[in-house]
Amino acid sequence: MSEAISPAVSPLRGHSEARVPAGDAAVTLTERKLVSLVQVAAWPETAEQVEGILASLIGCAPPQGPAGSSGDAGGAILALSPGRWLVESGDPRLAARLGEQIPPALGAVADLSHARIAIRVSGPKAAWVLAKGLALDLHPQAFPPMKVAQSAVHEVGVVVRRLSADKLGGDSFDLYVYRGFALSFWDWLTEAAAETGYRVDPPGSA
Amino acid sequence: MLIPCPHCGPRDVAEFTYGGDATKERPNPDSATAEDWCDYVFHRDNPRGRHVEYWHHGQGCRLWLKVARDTVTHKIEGAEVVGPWAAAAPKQGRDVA
Amino acid sequence: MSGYRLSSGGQIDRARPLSFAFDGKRYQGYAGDTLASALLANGVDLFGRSFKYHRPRGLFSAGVEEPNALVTLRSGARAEPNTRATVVELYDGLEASSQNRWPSLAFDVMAMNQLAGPLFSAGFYYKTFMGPTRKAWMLYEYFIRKAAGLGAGTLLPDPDRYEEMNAFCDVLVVGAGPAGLMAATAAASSGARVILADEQSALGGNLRGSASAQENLAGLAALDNVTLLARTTVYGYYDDNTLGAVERVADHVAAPAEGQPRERHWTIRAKQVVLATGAIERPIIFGDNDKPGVMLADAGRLYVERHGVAPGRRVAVFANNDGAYRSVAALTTAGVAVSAIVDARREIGAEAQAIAAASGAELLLGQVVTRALGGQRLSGIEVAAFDPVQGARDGAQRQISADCLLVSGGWTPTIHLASQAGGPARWDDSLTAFLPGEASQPWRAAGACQGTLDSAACFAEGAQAGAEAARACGLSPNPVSLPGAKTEPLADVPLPVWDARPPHGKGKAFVDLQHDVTASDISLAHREGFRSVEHLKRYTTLGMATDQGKTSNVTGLALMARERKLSIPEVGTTRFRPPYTPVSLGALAGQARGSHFRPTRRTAMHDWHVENGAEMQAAGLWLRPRIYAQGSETVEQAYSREARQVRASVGMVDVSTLGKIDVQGLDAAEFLNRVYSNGFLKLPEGKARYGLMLREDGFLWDDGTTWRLSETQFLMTTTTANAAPVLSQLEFLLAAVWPELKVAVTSVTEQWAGMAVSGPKSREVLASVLDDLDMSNEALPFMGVRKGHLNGLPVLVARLSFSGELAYEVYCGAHHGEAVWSRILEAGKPFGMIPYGVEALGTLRIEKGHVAGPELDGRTTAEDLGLAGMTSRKKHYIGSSMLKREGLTDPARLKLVGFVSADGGKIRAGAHLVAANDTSSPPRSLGHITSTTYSPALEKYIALGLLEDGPERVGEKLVATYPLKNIDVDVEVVSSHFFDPEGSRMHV
Ligand SMILES: [Zn+2]
Repeated sequence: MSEAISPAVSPLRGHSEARVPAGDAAVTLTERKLVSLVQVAAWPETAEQVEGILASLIGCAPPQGPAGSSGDAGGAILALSPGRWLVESGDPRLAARLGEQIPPALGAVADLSHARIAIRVSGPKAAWVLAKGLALDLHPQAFPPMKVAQSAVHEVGVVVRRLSADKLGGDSFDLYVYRGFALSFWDWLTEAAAETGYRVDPPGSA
Repeated sequence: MLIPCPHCGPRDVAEFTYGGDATKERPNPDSATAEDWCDYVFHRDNPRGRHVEYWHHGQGCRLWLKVARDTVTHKIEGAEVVGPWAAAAPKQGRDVA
Repeated sequence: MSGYRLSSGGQIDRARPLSFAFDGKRYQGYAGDTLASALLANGVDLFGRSFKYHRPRGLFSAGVEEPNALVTLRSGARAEPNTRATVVELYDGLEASSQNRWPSLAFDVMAMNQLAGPLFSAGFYYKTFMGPTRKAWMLYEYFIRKAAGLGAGTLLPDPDRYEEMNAFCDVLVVGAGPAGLMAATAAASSGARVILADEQSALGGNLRGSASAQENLAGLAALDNVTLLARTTVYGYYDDNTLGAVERVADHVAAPAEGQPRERHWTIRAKQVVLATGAIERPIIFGDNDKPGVMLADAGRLYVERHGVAPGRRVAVFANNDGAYRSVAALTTAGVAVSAIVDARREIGAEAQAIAAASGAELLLGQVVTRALGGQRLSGIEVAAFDPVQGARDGAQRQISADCLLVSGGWTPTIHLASQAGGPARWDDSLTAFLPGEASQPWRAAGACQGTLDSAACFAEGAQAGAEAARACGLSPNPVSLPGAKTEPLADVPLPVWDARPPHGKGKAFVDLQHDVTASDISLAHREGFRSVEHLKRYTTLGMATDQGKTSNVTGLALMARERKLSIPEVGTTRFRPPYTPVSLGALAGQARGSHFRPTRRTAMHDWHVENGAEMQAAGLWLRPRIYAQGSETVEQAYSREARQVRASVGMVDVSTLGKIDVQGLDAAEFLNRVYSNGFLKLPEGKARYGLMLREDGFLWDDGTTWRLSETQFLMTTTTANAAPVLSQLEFLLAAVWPELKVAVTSVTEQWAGMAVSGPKSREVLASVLDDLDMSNEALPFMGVRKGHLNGLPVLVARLSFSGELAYEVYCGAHHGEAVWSRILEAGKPFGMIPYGVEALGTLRIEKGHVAGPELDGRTTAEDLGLAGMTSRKKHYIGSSMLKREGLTDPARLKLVGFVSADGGKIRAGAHLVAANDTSSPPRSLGHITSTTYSPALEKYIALGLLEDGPERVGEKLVATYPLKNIDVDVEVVSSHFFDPEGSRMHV
C-alpha cells in the first residue's frame, strides 16, 4: 500500500464552507455528511416484508403514507415510489448489511452513497426560498413533516423531505441532489436565498 | 397542465415525458405479422377528444402512467400506474382503460 | 401648459418631494405620483409621437390601458422601452425619455408621414410590397421600420436579478377593488389559503386610500392564510387553473436592493379563482381625437383625487352616460373650472343634473363633440347636435374653447383572463359591452368585470363570489359585513355612441391610438372585403399594439358592425390571449439565465481537469475535458500528442459521463437478453459484453458494455447522450411490456467515477496501485471484470478497450474519483502517463473503426455498420421483428467504410462522397463522412463514413466534397479498421 490519501471529496468543496452574512439570514444552508445512502427496491409481493426488514434494521417505524418517511439523520427511510425506498444511515456498512438481508428473491439493493449529496435548508424562510424552484405545495398542510417528494429545480432532480419540526425547531428540509449537479444546484440555491439573506453552517454540522 | 400522478399527486407536466398512444399493445413476436408490427410502431390515430396515452414521471417517482386526456381541452379524465405496481397507488379520476 | 398641481388633496406625500428628469429636463413631483401625474402637474402635455404618423400625443388614461404615453425608463443597461408613464411610480432620480421622435419630441420630421396618409392606410404592408414590388420591401424596410415604431431596447446585459415563485392556494382573487377585497375577505373567513393580487402600487382599486379599504386590508394582512400581492399583474390564465403573474418587486425604485429581484414571476396554482378585474373606460371617437389634452373622463378624476393634479385649466367633458359626472364632481370639488359638458343624451339623471349645475358648466344635451381643435395641443372643441339614429349633423357647428377634454363612452369590462379560460364573451346590450362567457375552469367573476358598476353591488357580489369559491374548496366561509356603501346614484348605462363625427367631418378619427388605426381604415378594410373580426384585426392591425386594444376593441367592432349593418355580437369578438399587459423577458426567464440557463453536470475529476489545463467542452449537460493543451499547442497537436502517448505508453481519460444503470433481479439476464440484439443469457459472472440496442423499428439506438457482477446483478453502460432515454425505456419495458419480469433498474451514473486507463503500460501502472488484484492476462482476461481495492478504496476494474490498446476501465465511488484518478496518474509517472481528452479518445476509436454517436445517428442499422454479427437470429429482442423489413435489408444501403486523405487535405465531417469524374452539378452523392481525425498512428487524415456499396469500393478513389466551404479532398476508400486490424495489441 502506498501512503494514505484523503479519499472523499465533496462536489461542494470550496463552496459549502461556513459563511456568516453581515445582514439578516432568514435561511440556513448546511451540507450534510452522508455516510450511507442506499436504494432498496422490492417486488410487489415482497414489499411489506422488505419494508419490515428496513424498519428493523434502521430502528424506526415504516414510513407512513405513500410518500412518507421515518427516522432521523441517524437512520431514515424515505418512500420514493411503491416498493422503493431511499435509506440513509450513519452506518458505513449499510449497503452490505441490506444486501445480506434482502436477497434477490426479495428485492434489489443499490448503493447510492456517492451518487447524491444532502443539503439541509432551514429557517423561517426555508419554504419561501425553495418555492422559487420547486413546483410543489410546501404549505405544512399539503407537505407536512416527514413527507417526501421527488421533483426538480431547473432540470435538476431533487428528493425533498420536510423534517419533523419538534426535533429541529423551525422549518427544515433535507434535499438530496445528484452529485454531478451539486454545484449548479448550490449556485441556484444561494442565489435564490440572496433575497432573504442566508447563513452557511459548516459542512457536516447538520 | 397538471398530471395527477397516483403516487406523487398532481404535478406540472414539465416533470413528465410523453410516451405516446397507450392503446397500442406490443404484438406477440411469435405470432405477429409484418402488418401487426407496422401498426404498433407507426400507425397512430390523432383523435379530437379523449386520448389514452403514456406519460413517464421521470422527474418524480419514475413510474409510467396511463393517462386519459382530452386533446381539445387538455382536461385529464383519469390516470393510473402501469405495470406491476398498478395496484399499489390509487387510480386518479375515472377509469382510463 | 394645461395641467397643474392642486394646492391640496390627492394621496400624495407633499412632504416628500422627488426630483426626476424627462427628456433631460428636470422636474419635481411627490411620493405617490406616477410619472404621468408628475409630468401633468408640471404642465407637460406632449408625451410621445404616434406609431405611424408621428402625431403628437399626450396622456389618454391613468392606468395600464394607456395607448399614448409610452416612454423609455432609465438608461444604459437598465433602459426599458415602452413603459406606460401612467403606471410608472415616481422615485427620486427617475430618468425617462420620449420615443419614436426625431430629432425631438416637439419637432418631429416624420410627422410628414401624415401628409402621406393614404400610404399608411389599412393593409399598407400587404398592398405595397406584394407581387412585383416585393423586392422593394428589402430596400424600404429599414426606413419604414425607422419611421414607424416603438422605443429601442438596450443590447447591454440586464444587471438585475429576476426570480420565479411557485404558489398554491385555495382561492386566488385577481383585482383588489371593491369586489376583490370582499371576495378575499369572504374566502379568507373560511380559513382558505387566499392570494389577493392587484396590478396597482397599492391594493384597493377605486377604494384606494379610503378608510374602509385600509381597515379591510389591515384585517387581511393580519391573517396567516392570506397573501397580499400589490404591484402584481396576473397576466395569463392557463390549463388546470394555473395563472401567471408578475410582481414588480423593485421596479418602483432606481435599482433593486442587494439580493432583491427586480421582478418576480409567480406561477399560481389555485383551486378556485375569483376574477375581480374591473373595467376600463372607453372613448367616443371624433375628428382629431388624439390631440394632447383629450383624456378619458375617469382618468381626469383619478389625477385630481389620487394625485392632486388638475388635468387642465378649462376642462370640457364629453359623455354618453351618468358615470362621467363623477369626474365633473371631482373637478368641481377640487376647484377646477369645467367650461362645458357635452352629452349625447337628451336626458340625464337627476344626480348628474345636480352635479352639472353645481359645476357651473354649460350643459349641452343631445350634442356631441365632432372635432378637437388646436395645434400640438387642444385649444377647443367643435360641437354639433346629435340624433341617436342619424348621428351628428353636418354644419352649424359651435366651437368651445377648452385645454382639456374628458371623454367617456361607457365602460368595457376587463374580461381578458375570463376570455383566456372560458367560452366566447357574452354581449350585454344595456352596457353595450362584452361580459365574461361561460367558465371552462373553476373561476367566477365579480364586480365591474362582469358589468356590475355600482359599488354596493360590487361589495355584495365580491363577498358572494369569495364565499362560493371557499365552499367549492370544501370550506365553510363566515358571513362578512359589507361596507356601508349607498347605491350609486350615477348609473353608468351609456347611450351607444361610437363615432361622433358628422358625415363630412374633418380630421383623422382614431380608433386605435397606439397603432394609428382610424375609422376610415376600418371602412376601407370593409370595402376591400374583410368581413371576419380576425381578418379585420390583422389587416388593419387594430388592437395588436402593446396595449392590445384595451380602449379600442369594442369601438372597432362597433364600426365594423355599422359597415356590415349587423349588431356588434353578430360581428363577434376575438378571444384574448396572454399576456394581459406586456411581460418582461427577464421575468419569464427568472433565474434561468447565464450559467443557470441550463444546469451543468461536473464529474468527480472536474476540478482536477481544470487545474491541469484541460479545455472543457459540453457533452449534453456534462462538461468533459477536450484536450490538455501544453504551451501553444493547437487542438490537433494536443490530441495527436495525447493519442500517440497512449499507443506508445499509457494515458487515462475520464469516462464518468457514460450512462450507468444497475440492473438487478432474478430475471435480470433474461431482461437484458430481450433488450440487447446480442445474447446475454450466457454471459458469465465477472465478464463484460459489448451490446447493441435497437429501436422497435429496427434501427440502431445505443451501444455499450454491460458487466455481470453476480448471477442477478449487472452494471449496464450506455452512451453519455442516451443515459436518460435508455433508463426510461427500460422502465417502460418493465412496466408495460414485461411486467412479469422481476427486475429493478436504477441509475448509478452519479455513483461511480469512471476512468479508462489505456496503453501498453496500463497493466503495469494498475498492478502497482491496486491492493489486491492479480492483473495478469490469465487472472484478468480481455472483457474480465473484478472487484478490488486501490489504497483501500473499493474499485471495479474491467478490461475493456475502446482504443485498441491494452486497456482497463476503473470505476470507484464518485467521492473517491479525484483521489483514485490522482493516485493512478502518480503511479504512471515513470511511464510518462498522461491524461487525455475526448478529442484523443475520438482519434483512438476512429483509428480502430469503432462506431460512436456520429455513426449511430438513428438512420443506420447494425448491418450498415458492419455489426450484423451482433444481431441474433435465435431470439426475439427489441427491434428484431422490424429489422427484417425490405428497406433495412436493401443491399443498396450505405455501409460503413474508412477513408484516408489521398492529397493530405483535412476531411470534413458532413462532406459528401462523389465520384472523382462526376462533372454534374451537383454531383451525385454516394454517401457522406461521419467522423474525422488526424491519425497520429497512420500520420494521415482519416475518416469514417457511410458509402453506397462501401466494402466493395475499398481501394477506389473518391472526392469528399464540402460545397458550403468549397473544400474538396481526394480520398481513398479503405477498411474502417485502420489500425491493428487483428486486435493483437489489446489481447496481450
Ligand atoms: Zn409520480
